[in-house]
Amino acid sequence: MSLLDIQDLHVSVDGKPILDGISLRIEPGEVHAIMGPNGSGKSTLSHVLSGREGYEVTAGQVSYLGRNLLDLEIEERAHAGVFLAMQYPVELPGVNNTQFMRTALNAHRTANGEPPLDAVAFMKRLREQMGTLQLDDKLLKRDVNSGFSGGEKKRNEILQMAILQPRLAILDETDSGLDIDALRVVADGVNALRSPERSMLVITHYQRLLEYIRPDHVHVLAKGRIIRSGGPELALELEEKGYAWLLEDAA
Amino acid sequence: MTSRPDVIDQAIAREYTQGFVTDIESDTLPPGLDESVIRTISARKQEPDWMLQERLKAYRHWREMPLPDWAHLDCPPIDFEAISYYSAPKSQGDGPRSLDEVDPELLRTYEKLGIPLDEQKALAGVAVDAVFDSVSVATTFRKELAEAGVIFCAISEALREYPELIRKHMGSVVGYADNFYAALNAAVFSDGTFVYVPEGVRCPMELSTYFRINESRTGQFERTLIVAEAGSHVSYLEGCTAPMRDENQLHAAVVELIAMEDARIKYSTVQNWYPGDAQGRGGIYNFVTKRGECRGDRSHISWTQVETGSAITWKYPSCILRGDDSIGEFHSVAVTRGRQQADTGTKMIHLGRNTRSTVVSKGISAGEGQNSYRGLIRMGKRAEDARNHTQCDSLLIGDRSGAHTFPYMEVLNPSAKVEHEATTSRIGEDQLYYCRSRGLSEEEAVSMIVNGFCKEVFRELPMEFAVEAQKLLDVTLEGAVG
Amino acid sequence: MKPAVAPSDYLQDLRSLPAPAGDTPAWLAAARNDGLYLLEHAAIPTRKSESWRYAGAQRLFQQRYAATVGDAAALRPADIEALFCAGPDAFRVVVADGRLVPSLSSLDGLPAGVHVGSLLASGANPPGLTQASPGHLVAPGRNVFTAMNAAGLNDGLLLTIGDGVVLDRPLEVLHLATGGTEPSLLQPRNRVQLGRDAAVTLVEHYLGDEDGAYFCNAVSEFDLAPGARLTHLQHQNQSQAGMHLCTEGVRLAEGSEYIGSRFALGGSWARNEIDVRFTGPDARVDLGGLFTVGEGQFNDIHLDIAHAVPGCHSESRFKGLLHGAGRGVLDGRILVDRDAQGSEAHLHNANLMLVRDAEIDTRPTLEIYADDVQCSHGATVGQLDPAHVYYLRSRGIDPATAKRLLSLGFARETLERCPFPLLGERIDQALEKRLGSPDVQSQEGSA
Repeated sequence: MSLLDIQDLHVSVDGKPILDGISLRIEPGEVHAIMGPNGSGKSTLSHVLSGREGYEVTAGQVSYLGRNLLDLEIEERAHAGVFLAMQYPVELPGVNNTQFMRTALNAHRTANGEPPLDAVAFMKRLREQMGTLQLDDKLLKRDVNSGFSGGEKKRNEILQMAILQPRLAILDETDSGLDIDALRVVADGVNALRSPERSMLVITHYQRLLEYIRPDHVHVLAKGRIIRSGGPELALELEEKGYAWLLEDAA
Repeated sequence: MTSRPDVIDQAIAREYTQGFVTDIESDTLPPGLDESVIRTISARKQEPDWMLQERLKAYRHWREMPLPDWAHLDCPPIDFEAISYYSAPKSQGDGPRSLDEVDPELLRTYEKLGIPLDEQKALAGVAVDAVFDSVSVATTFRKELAEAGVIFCAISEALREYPELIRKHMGSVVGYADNFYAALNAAVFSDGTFVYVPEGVRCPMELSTYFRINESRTGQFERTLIVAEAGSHVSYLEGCTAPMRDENQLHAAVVELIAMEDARIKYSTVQNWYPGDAQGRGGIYNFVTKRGECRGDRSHISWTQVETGSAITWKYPSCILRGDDSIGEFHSVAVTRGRQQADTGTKMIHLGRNTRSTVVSKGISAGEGQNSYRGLIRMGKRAEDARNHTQCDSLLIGDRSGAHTFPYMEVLNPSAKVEHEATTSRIGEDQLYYCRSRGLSEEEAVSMIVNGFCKEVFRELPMEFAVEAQKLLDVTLEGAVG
Repeated sequence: MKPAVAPSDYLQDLRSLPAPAGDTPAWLAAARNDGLYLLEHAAIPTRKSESWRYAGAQRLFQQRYAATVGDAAALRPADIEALFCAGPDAFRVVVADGRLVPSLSSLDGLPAGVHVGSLLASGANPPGLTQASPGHLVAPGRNVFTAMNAAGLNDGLLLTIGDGVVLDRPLEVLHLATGGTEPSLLQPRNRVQLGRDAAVTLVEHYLGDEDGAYFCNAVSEFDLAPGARLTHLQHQNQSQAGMHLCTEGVRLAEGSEYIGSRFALGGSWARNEIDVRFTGPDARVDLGGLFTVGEGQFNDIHLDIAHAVPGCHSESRFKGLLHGAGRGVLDGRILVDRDAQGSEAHLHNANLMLVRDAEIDTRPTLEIYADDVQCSHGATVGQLDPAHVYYLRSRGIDPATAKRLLSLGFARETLERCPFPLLGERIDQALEKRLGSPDVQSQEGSA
């Protein structure tokens, strides 16, 4: 059984079609990259998978571990192992970062029939992950993403991913706004989480991130469709030639 | 840089260009108010008896009412016995006739004010009702409007021709007991404009009323009623001027708008009553009650006002958003200079679901002008998902001016959203410096900055009047600015 | 709501109130007499009065509160100990039912130049109480409540700090309503005077017996000499049936600074009236905090900030959290006088309304008579941002918990103003008690 199986997915926002028939299958352990120019529908795809409201699926289906993903509530998807590292993580003033992550983790555990972790056990797990991501302890005392730098926000997303241990991690433009050092740290964090059970969908505009997170498959999204799929070499080709030649081909 | 006191002195020195008096014989009631005055007004207008009874009811109520004192205004007591409540040009008789019969002196007056009543010379696509003191003297383009089914006439005429429409709607938005000045108006109103747009009709031209106070020691108490039936559209504009006199004259109007399902009313005002002289002598006291009711679902009422005149302005054009998905808007530029005072703003009363309101208020205070914004946003219990955004900006020119903001927000529904922002600033020396270093005169720079400040509101005016309003603002601030 | 009791019904009780220390000195009798006269002639403000438009003062005259001197003996030191939260090195004062209780206070080690004690028991005539000792910042004739406070002048805290003295340990004051068999009237009157360049952190709690029905009618004055700095935190968590009115006057001389925080949580009816007066240039006020409204609660923050001199800066930020069917009010006025060029004044009020049948009324007004100013105000009423709820749900948190967490977050943001972690926790606990703890909820789900 595939981990994720998207078939002929059509999605509209405010009556305007954005995704125009996407099909994509991801097996356990695979890393897929989706590349494409701005406005091609990359972020729409990530939010549809995560369940954000305001995205209307007009046709097609998405099966996740044999279940109909589109039938699940946002948090049910999360409990089932779908994690979206957002391009623009929201700031939650007043909501403590540590409390937030513990609440999230215990919600997962509860949903999956495990007992909640107490504060001590949780902090132990948290600290282990903090080191990998070179995150300052201070960020734990601060409010979620509030006043974080761009890099801190992205690392905080990966930290949440490490804590929640998803089966399917969707990284939406995780490289945007990062300098090369921050990018390396984030990529190390992501790579540390690669495993035969965990799949990833890496959405990016640039090939740069894929030098650090090596994908198994690369897909090019344009005008709401996947117009080309290939191996890692496709990303290099795009880097070299840009998107124009593919768009012309598609047209 | 030119020193600021100079700038202000010049502002105060500028002339009111519409302050001439028309020499015309008038039939004017002696000052004072009692039931016999009301009976006389009603008789002159040949009104039905029920109207007289309504007037008397209002008068009896008014006598018991205290003067409102909550506004941020310094207003000397008004002697209501010293005002004449009715004045009409003698030649006019009762009610408007064809243009040929209008006294040429009156036509010249309006021409001088830039409002030609001759249809050949008129602004294309604008029908005008001209109200001179207490009576309507002429209404243009009546034939064209009648063809579209639109009624546009003096309210005194409407009382005779369409009594049932008037009886049904007048007082249904602003009742006679609403407030002190509304009660006075309900008792003594003399003329005004009635507009009726039938179902589904888009009024083929802009409608406008031009109010002129001429006679001394008179008050003007006009009444405007606009009814837009389901699916109809109408855009209406009023303009106001008065001669320069060293006495204060009272203008206490009532305007009622009714918008049924999917109807849209756009009401614009360019108010330039005589503001009084630099010492604060004379000028119009402008105490006006304006209210629109979005009675039907998806109806839309929009108020736009440019207030540059009057010694004292007290007005709060409001919207009662009763229909679901109805929309209320208020866009205002108010300028006070010399000793002018303005206490103006709006009330947006959200009753229906998913109602929306937008308030944009731009106050400009120059000289010793005092400018207050007073606004109430109320989200009723049943106003699900209602939204309001209010932006309220004040610009100060000169260190003796004042800018005040009194917003009231009352929210009783947890799904409603209200946002209010207000800023107060002066024209920055650095802004002026920057403009001047690019070659603009100080006057041009200020004009540009002020017009930029008001742009959001001017944009709401019908095209023909946006330019007028901008000019009026330039004239008003002329000298204030360089 | 018609009043059931008239102000004059209090005259007899207040007249016969004994002085805190033996005989009533002449100045105290004079101050009370002034108050009695004012009270006799005072009217209960109606909704027609702009400053009481939303408050309904009649509610405080629905029953008569007994003017008593209270019973401090009923208080157990161990219970009280648990209420302090400004740390072990804080100086501590207990004011029970309006009277300072020396036996429960600990003031060892006060440096020279600092006086902390009972307002009345010192024997001397403190400033601002009578015509012979002018300088009041809250006029007794302001309204029926300040008149009542003066008429029943009973005690309170007097804090004076001499020129140049910086108190590096905070002073923590507990205002307690001890409760009793009948509804009681508590009327503390507090005076804080900071000398030139003096500085102190003052933490006040207004708390009451959980089942107590009482009316706490406090008047406090804060007078800052040039260069003085007062950090003032006030935590109000009166009982469910408690009525609370705190009328405060702050006066700032040149270059002084007042950092005031209010955490107004409790009471059936509660109102903070805060007047700020700048008397010298370059002074600064930073005022802010939180007010919460639960079922049947009324909570009102009333600000009057007057810039009369040039170059002062005031910043006010309050948040209102309406989590029950009650009513919240923020009525804030900023006045910038003609001479107050170079003023900067900002007022902001954000409100979160979580339930039906609640009402929030907010009225941030600006009156500006000078042109070289930077002033702004803003107010919002709304709900949680759907994008925030989505973010939490995408992390597996159910919508109800997400909303609770975000609502707590909205309120907790104001705790940034609180330098004492224990006080922060105390307020946090009070909030969680009202909204429910997210932790508890998610664990309950597992059971």
